[in-house]
Amino acid sequence: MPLPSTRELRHEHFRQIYMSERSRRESIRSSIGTPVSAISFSVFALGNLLVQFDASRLGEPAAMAIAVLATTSVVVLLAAVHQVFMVEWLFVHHEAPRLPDLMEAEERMRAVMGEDEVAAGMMDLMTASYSIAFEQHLWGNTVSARSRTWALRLVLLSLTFLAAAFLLLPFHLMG
Amino acid sequence: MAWLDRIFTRRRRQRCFGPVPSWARFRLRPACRQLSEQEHRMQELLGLVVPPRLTMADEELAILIEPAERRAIEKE
Repeated sequence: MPLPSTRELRHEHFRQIYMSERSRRESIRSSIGTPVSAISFSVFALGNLLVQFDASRLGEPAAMAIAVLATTSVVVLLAAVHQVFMVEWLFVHHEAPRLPDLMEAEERMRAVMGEDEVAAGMMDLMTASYSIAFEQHLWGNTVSARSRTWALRLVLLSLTFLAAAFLLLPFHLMG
Repeated sequence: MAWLDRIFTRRRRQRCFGPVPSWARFRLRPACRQLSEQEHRMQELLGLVVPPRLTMADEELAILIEPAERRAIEKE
């Protein structure tokens, strides 16, 4: 079996990684569901905390600690919502050239390089296209994945503050 | 009845390639320039007769930006 040429290897390599990066985009998009569900749960839990909290006793240490923890939790939660927004914010896709553009390039190559070199030239052109599209998708996906990860981290932090506030709630209700 | 079209159709009756609204051109200009620079770098690297001409798709506007439109946005 003849080995593929380096030109063919380059082409196939960039085509494959471009396709994987496109799929990765969709998996990042679908994974936003986890932090969004956690945010919804946090809002519900905050509501429960507020119903049981007696604001008239804010001078007591336990009440003050609960208020501080709950406020911090809300601030961190808002930061998480911001990160969820940023996952899909102003995303621009880059796609391979359209057929009319390819046909035009083919004609130019035929005129400049001759018929024998057209196929190789077209393969290089497609390799370049896949390479650029891959880099752009990789960059966009990296930014989106960072926002998604931060959203998840911030939600977990918010839930931790909320859990600490709930731990203090019995002491507040006892007093 | 254009307002009904906006409500009941998933995709509004607009041309799939441009024109890009004036308020969005400023936002898209850096992305257009970056893509063109990359295309020229690739042309030099591989010794291509013509640079690759990729199509951009903006999700916010649900619009495709062809290379000619991209060049027009870059020049503004």
